[in-house]
Amino acid sequence: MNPSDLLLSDIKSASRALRGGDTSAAELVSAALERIECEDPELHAFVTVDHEGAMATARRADDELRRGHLRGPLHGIPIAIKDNLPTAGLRTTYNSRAYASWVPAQDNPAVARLRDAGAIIIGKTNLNEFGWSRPSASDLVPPPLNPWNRNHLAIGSSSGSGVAVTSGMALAALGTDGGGSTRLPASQMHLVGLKPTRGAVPTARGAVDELSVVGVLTHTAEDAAIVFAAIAHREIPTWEAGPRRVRLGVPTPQLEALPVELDVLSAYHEDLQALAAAGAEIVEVDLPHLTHARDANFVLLAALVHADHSRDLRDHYADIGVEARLRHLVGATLSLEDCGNARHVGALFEADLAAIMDHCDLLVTPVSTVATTAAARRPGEHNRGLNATFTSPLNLIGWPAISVPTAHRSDGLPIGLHFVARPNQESLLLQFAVSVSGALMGEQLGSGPASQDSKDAAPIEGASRPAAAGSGERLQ
Amino acid sequence: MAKEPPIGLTAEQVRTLLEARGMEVEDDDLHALLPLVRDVREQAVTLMRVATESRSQEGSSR
Repeated sequence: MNPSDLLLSDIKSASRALRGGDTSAAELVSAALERIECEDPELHAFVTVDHEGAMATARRADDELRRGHLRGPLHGIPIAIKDNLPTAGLRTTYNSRAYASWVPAQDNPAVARLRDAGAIIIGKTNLNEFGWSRPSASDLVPPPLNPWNRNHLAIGSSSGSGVAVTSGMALAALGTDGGGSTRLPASQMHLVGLKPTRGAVPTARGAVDELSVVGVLTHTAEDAAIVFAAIAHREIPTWEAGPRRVRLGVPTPQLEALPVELDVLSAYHEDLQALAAAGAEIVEVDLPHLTHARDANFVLLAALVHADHSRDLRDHYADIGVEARLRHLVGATLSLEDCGNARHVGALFEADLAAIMDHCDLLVTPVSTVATTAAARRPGEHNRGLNATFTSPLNLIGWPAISVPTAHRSDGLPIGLHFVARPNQESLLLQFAVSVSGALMGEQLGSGPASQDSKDAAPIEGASRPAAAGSGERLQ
Repeated sequence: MAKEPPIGLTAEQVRTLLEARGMEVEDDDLHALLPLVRDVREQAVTLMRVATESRSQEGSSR
């Protein structure tokens, strides 16, 4: 594979090519920069691209390899970073005019760990202003388009990270996830999106750390495991030890009561059939506090982001876009009692889920109630986070979850599947995701890791095809 | 039993809350903010009901 193709494959293949001398870090980074130059004027995945820094780091990585110093599987791998995670010497804007020229002195801890592991930071990816807003005319960079169907905006807030990986501008990206912001774009762009357990990865971002974690977006679950191992200082799981037979909890009462789009619901039920055929046991469960936990997460989030950005609101009011201003002001109307109630509801939801996990290994739900960003942002629904009903409750209680690609899409946009595990069981999530990736892509379930052959055609090519007639189609 | 607060706040109430935190908002922003405030207050009131009922059940089971 040439460097350009490697960027659309996976970290494992690129690392093998680097170690075998079939490519170099400089060639990989150069190919990524070329693709960014070609595609990003339309896609808007990046706020800032570090051309010189990335090439200089790549040359150093190649020097180390020539001297026989391999830092690990991320050595020489280009990775993109969401632009709300500070990067030393590289401007960090939050896609806000208020931070248009801020150059941090220190890396976010997860970024520092990636650099130590040999990864090459290629640039900073686009997001809704401060990660908690919706696109507005005053954003530094316009919102990213979804490469799978450029008539749609990519869902946020880690939208740029998703676009960068799915279109081959980087082999992985860090996002953040305070209500689903890593898992939602992963689902919509045929990627794996891992939201780790609260505290598993150091964040150091502020009050919002109570809900928001650093997330990982990659092409495969194996890649997610590699990146997660680096930023959490964990071991990479042993794939052969993956679960043979698992019990999956399905919250049937909530799925029947919630307004889930038909395409999403039919994709979910087909995926459950595929998982059952692959040996999983499906168990009906009840999550009576699910929607309350969603509301609690967003009430608490409003209070926390207000606390974190109150100084920005006082000192840079006019430089912050109106959408972001409003969403960061709302929290001022909440009290400590409101926050206490939200946390109490979180405890109720956690008790529900803990009881389920006494007899299930994982919970499985759709990632979102809707397939498109426009549907997620319908008036009256976006403010309340209705599209994030299945993802946001896990932020409230800090449990890990993962979005896994499937064969389904709606209006050209992929639809993922969402699994939840007990705290600190990221290895189980990742092992299971690897073991069922073939089944979810409509293939025979193999005993080993997912084959690269299961990866679809490049999304850029796919996106150049006209939107398929009808909906709920499967990827070919 | 906690007293249930009214859902939503008036523009002047919101302005007062913001000014107490050192923030002066433009009139256009204030009016655009009110629907968001109403949404979050509705959610907060729902959470208060759920939490109050749960605490009351916890209390009666002791």
